[in-house]
Amino acid sequence: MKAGNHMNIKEFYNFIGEDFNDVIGRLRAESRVCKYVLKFPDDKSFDNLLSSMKEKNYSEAFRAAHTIKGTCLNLSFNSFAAVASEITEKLRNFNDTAAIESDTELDGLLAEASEKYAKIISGIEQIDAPEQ
Amino acid sequence: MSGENFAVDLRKQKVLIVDDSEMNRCMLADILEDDYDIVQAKNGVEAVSILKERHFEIALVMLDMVMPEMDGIEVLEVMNKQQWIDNIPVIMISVENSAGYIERAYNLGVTDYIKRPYDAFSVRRRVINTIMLYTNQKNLVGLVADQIYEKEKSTNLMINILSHVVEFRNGESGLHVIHVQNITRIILEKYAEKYPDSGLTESSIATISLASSLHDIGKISIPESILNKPGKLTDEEFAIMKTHSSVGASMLESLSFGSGDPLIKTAYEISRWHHERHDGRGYPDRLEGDKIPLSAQVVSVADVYDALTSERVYKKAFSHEKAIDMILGGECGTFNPKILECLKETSDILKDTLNLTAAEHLSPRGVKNITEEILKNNDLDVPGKTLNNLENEIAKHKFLQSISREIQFEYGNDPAMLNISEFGAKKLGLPENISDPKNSEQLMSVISKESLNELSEAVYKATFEQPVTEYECDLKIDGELKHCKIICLTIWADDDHSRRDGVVGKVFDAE
Repeated sequence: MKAGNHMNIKEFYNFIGEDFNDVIGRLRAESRVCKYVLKFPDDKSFDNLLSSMKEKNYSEAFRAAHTIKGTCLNLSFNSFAAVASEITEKLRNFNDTAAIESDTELDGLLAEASEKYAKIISGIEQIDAPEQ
Repeated sequence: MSGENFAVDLRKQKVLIVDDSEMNRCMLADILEDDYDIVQAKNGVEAVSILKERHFEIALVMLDMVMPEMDGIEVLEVMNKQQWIDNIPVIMISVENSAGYIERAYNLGVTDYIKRPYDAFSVRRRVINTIMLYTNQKNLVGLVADQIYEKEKSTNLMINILSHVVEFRNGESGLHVIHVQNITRIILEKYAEKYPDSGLTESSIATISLASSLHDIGKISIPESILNKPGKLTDEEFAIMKTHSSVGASMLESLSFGSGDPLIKTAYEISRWHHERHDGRGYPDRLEGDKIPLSAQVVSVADVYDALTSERVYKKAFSHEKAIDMILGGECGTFNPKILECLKETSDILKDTLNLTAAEHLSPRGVKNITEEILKNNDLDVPGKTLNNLENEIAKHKFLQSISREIQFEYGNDPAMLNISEFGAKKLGLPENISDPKNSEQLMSVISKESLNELSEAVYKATFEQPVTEYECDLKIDGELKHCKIICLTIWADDDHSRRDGVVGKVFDAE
């Protein structure tokens, strides 16, 4: 167990500003929610999004943003999902490289996403993991 | 999720989850794994290769849309092309909400669409409902097929009895109706083949041949003294005899039930007009050319041919060749030249049919084709019982294979794929599935290229009579070369054993 752990899963949702009731209503079991939230840092889609953007591989970036949106909606990380959704739409025509590269809002969205992602990750690190 | 699914649970149906995100696959698997056996694929290519091998046992596919390698739409296209979509329901699951995408997926045959974020309860319910719907449909298809068969059987039986009653009264053996039926069918099949625009289908041909049995039903009204008179009929007697066609027709017309039935309608045409002539000089209506329904035209040829080749109280039987010559030479009336053409071309088959003393009224092939036609029109498919039996056999086989501690394998020609039993793959240090094995370097690390070629040549010498091949060579088992014996059985792709489907076999320690 890491030092500084002190949140339960409900407190975690409060910490990131999301609604625990929403996720528990859909996934039904607290243990299930907990399991997926703890698994979330293993999902490399966000790293994949950033590195694909850097490499200008926009089709891969589109898929990554799309995956993030789906996963986050399922976990009710709604505000992060909303940013991912905006990025998805901006990358949907991934063959139009010029349009993507001249898009002035994209960098801002990516920065916003990074911020939200960091917040979620830091929150997850503080969750008291149930005994496995 | 524990990855070790050693024993296959026979009671659980299999659900294939296709999603490039591991997280997403896990979430769905978690929701469904209590009720179903979960198979996972991380992209479209994997999904297609799993379906290729196991489409008989997959009860449902949960399909993500946006994936690398091959996306959901492309998977659906393959499923359509291979007709897997007819038997395997697909639930699309995606965050994708562009109307175009969803519409395309529905057009490609997905049964349901679940939008993220989903709730666990609805996912489970929708999966259960979809699988139940398909299972019910499969069972229904089986029931329908059985009932069609039963109905055909009883209709044939009734018509047989009826036409035999008429024939026995004529002093004939009852074979005449059977012959006319067969000849009619043979000529019509040729006609349909030569003239695809004629509108003849497998089922209309069956109806016409069956209805042909009733062509002389009106003879029931003709006094026996005229019917069975050995000598020539007087003009007056012949006039009475000629009434049989219109009398038969009115009998059928006055039936209070089934008047709209194609069988009765066709029987009416045949009964009334099977003595019309192509030149308009027949009876009772002096119809000319194609004003005579095709059914009646064909039956009149069949009737004449069988009368010529049978022995009657007033004549001996002519040979097949003589009968054909007489008909083509116009000695027995004038007929539609297209039908005469068909008669000529089917002459050999007719000759064989003539030698049959009793024939099945509706060949099993006929039943099968009609069933298929009806099922096709109703968007139904392979009879469910057969499919279920097959599914059970596959499940049993998989189970026995999974618990046997043997090196077993299956090789399929198209696509070239080698599947090794789980235990075998471990012993050989190979993956369970190897595509294009003849060029697989992995496989060559276990068996030498020469041995593999020799084995393949030996297998190709297998025949239907001797389908088993034995071959000895060295194989690397548990990392050590061992002398082994490979025994395999060739499986044929078709009934006449001209094409090979592949082989199944086992490896034995020969040391």
